Amino acid sequence: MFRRRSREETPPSPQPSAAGADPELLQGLRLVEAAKRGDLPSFNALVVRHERPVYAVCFRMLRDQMAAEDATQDCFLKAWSSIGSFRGGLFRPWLLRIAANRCYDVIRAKGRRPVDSLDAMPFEIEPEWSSQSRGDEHPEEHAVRRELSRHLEQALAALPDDQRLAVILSDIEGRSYEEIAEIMGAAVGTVKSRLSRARAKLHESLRAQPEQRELLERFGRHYDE
Amino acid sequence: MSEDRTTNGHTAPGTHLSDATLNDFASGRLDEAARASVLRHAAACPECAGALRDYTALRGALGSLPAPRLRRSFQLSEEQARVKVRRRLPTLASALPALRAATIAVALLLLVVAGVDRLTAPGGKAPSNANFAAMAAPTQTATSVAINSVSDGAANTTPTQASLGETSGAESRSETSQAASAIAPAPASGSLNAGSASEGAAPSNAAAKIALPPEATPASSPSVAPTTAPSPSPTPIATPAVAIAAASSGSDRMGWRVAELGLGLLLLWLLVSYVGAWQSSRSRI
Repeated sequence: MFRRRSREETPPSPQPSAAGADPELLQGLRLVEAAKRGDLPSFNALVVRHERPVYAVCFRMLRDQMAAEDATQDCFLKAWSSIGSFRGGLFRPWLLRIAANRCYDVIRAKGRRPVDSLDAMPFEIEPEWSSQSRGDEHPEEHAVRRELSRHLEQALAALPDDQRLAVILSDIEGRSYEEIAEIMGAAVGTVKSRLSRARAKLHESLRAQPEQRELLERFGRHYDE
Repeated sequence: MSEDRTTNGHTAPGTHLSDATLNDFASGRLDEAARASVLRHAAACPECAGALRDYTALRGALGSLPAPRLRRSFQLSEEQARVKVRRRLPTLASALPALRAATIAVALLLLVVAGVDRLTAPGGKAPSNANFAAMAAPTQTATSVAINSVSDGAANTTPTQASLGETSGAESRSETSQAASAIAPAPASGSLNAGSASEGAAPSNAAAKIALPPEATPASSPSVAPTTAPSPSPTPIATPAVAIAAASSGSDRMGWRVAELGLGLLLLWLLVSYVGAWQSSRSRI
């Protein structure tokens, strides 16, 4: 019943060739080139394309809606002012790197603990279509998924910042190890190590409580179907 | 479970799937052969099958997390696009290249200053206060030898001087008393007092020995005015000159030392800042 989210682990392509490339990707490249020449509408078109994942990363890193909005706005302001330094390739990893660094600045400046923010300010959830679940999802499955998501968000907020970012980029945003390495400014091996530790902690956290363990098992059974 | 006993995805019998293998499988990074090997092992190992299921479900649950709703768009306005990003104080990480260049420049400058200091030092060693004292000591010694020899000569020749004093008369006494006023009187000895009734005779007698013509003294007082002693007049002038030269040389050396110390402290500060900036840049993920 749960539709498996397909993840195509595409290899990184710093310089996608024009021949045979995705039209949308080509359109993105044209927008970037226009933005580099100072065309604001082209840049805003890029903003519309990438603001959701950027905001999602900022929100999950900061766990505060106001802070996430400020960080996202700062990210795009920074991107606009430094777009001349963009040397081509995929635009989103470059944006996400700016966003991640901005989040780290906020975290360091405020010394915030995401767990506290999560309890204090629950965030609004997107409509069902954005979570890639099918409209004919069984109510019980939907309830399992929602309950498991709540525990998972809490466990995610308790991770160290670097491990949390690795999980967000890999398992939530679907970036490849190489892209994550570029975003985080680390080696691929370091990314794998952080991801492995993060997943182990999440797994251990969910297995610690019988209720959560059962939720995970039920979700797994439905996920395999 | 955390032991890595897999080789290219093929698990040795009697072992379990490692965390790395489980993660790679959940991330879809294993090739077909490796995936098949993992699945074969999972079919035979309930523990690994459960772990594999959990990791796959975990990743699926993470992927199914709902996205936070956007309350507004983040497109830039014309005003925002015109206003440059607020220039805050540059972070340490952004100043890394400048710090690196400054550290290298100061280090080179310190090497140059230290090298010039060593090369220009007189005799390879700067004169210290002790050296200055040693340089001035021979001059003082020569002066004290002359003075002592004059006084010794005056004491030793007292009997002869007594006889000379009898013969010189009052005229010579007045002349020698004038000369004695310009010279520090020699310590009066009992023999002098005995040899002369008047109080001013003792200094005048000593002065007489100095003022007497050279041809009269050698025969009677061989110990008076030794020819080896240098004349008093040059030594007082030489001493201040040496002192001034030594003082100026010492001040130059002090200047180099101060410069070296200042550059050393600046280099230390730059190194600490550079390390801090480097760590700051590394900590940004």
